[in-house]
Amino acid sequence: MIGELMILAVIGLAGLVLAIDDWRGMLLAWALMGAAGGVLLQQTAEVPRELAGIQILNSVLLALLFYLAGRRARTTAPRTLTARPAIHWRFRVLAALFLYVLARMLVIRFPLPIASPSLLIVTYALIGIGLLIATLSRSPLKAGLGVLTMLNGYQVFYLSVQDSLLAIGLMAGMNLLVAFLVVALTLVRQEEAA
Amino acid sequence: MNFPLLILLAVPFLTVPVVYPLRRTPLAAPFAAAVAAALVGFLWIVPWPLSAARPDQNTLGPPLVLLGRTLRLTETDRWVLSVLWGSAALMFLTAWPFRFERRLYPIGMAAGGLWMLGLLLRPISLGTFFIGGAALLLALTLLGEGHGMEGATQYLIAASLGFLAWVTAAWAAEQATLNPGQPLWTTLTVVLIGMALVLWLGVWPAYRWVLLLFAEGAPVGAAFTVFLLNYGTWFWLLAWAQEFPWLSQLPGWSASLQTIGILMTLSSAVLALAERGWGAIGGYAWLAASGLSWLALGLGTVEGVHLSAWTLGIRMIALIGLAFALAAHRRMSGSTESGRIPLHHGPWVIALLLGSGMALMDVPPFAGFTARWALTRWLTLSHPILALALMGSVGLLGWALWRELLTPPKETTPLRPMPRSVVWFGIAWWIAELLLLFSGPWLGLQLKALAEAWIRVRLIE
Repeated sequence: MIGELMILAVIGLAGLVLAIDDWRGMLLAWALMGAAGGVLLQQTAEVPRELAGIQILNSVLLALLFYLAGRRARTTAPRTLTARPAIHWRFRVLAALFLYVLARMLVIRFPLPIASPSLLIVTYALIGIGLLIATLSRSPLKAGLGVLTMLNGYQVFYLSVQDSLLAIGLMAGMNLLVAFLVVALTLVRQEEAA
Repeated sequence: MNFPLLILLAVPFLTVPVVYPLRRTPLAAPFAAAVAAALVGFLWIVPWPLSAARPDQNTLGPPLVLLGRTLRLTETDRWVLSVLWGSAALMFLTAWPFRFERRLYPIGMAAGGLWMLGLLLRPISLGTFFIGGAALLLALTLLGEGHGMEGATQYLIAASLGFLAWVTAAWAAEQATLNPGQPLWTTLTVVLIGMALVLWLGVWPAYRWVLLLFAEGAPVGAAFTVFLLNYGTWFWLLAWAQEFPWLSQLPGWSASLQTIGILMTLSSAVLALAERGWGAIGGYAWLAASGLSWLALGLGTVEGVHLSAWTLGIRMIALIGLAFALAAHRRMSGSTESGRIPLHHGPWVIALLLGSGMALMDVPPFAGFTARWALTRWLTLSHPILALALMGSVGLLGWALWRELLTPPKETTPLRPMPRSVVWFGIAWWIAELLLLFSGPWLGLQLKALAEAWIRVRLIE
């Protein structure tokens, strides 16, 4: 029951990242989504509790990094942050709901023997929503959050099936690399616009 | 301990902190090019002791063990790395006259180093992270001065998704090896590799980022990115086929590669008719040209694999010409839109744009024509409609290129004078294309080692 609530919370927060236009609200929703994903992993027997804790910490720190980058970009290139997607937020919420239903159907239709179905629902839904965020957004910061949402979703699955700590560490490294690239793209634009 | 291999792996990363502070100076390009060329020289000068890891694979020196994982250099890897670093050296020199390409040198060295690590590292599931890291890092080379943001963002999305597909494919391939007889894992592996190729090679419908890179980004950075993703993936796939020999025996393997090749070639030719601008048409020409290599590889015949390896050699010169011409165009007019530079204002730039575009389309007398002709002849008997479509695609792309040339001049801001380097580069490029025409068979012999590696793993009758 708690697991099901956490799944809904994670996917609901990802839906909020998709729907919200204000960059600070979006970042807060994204940080909460990452933390909720970590809590969900803590309830899973397949994932060591320490790794789930690192996942929570990672999300919070990355959100802080993006906030600092956003604050810097706001002063000289506000359009970097405020560019709104062409699609109204109501349709984006509907799309997030549709992706959640699709993820549930996919898990029933194509189950993976090793992976837990509840974690697979989160993975499919977050990859779908993340892809939608990335492709609909016009600002590098929001597109980057979309990419990181996809990576977060994938990590939920990967942590539950991967035994190698080196591979898990490298996956976390890829998350950091993407975060660094998003910050660089946001600030480079600011530099060019200045 | 294999010290030469350790040096080979460490040098690109040690170069980055030296090149980075130099990136705004004219020293960065020749320095990075010299290091890349020195790596090629190092690969061939060092007397590697041969030791056989497997009967069909000679390892150059003992494997290097780092963090409990092995890195090994084989005869095939030596050719692969020579092609990668040799081409990278040419790219660095191509970017030399252009200030907006300054991010290419440090990022290019780091990305090349990561790709090399990924190719040599086993198990392949760990190598995937380094390959993915290299692909992601390239996003930074795509930004020029005040342009290229949309292309870089779209590239980041495609590269990240492709990376996820590769990681999952590696995991599924390991599961397939551990659980033989379960078709789920083999099917999943082939499907995911197909998805990764679609995203990284710019196959329709995930092709848009390639055009944006050439049209809006830093052109040499864009060329370096598509080069590393195309050539690197060709070599990376070979590493997969060597690591998982069952992979290339699957019925879906050849079909996937053929579909990707056909989609790249034909969709680019058709879509090019709806697009305007030198950069976009150049991007389509590149997609069509590289599609031919993948189609030839997917044929699964000895001749097809040889042809695919040979096209790797000849496409590089055309790609470099296109990148230089687009960069010069951007420097003169601030964009890559057609009609900005009249023929009398930048004759060498326009000649280079036309020449490199025609070389990528395999128009005679460029060396690529022999490859397209040979492929068309093979396909004529078994797939006549496809053979006709392949020849027709040249006509469509040619029309798109011709239309760019005929675009009436636009009234724009004053043009900068044509850089003098364009003349020297143009002369060198046309001579290189001429030499390529005559040295094509010789080049084919040199790249035979790459083709032989594929043929060994595929067990072609």
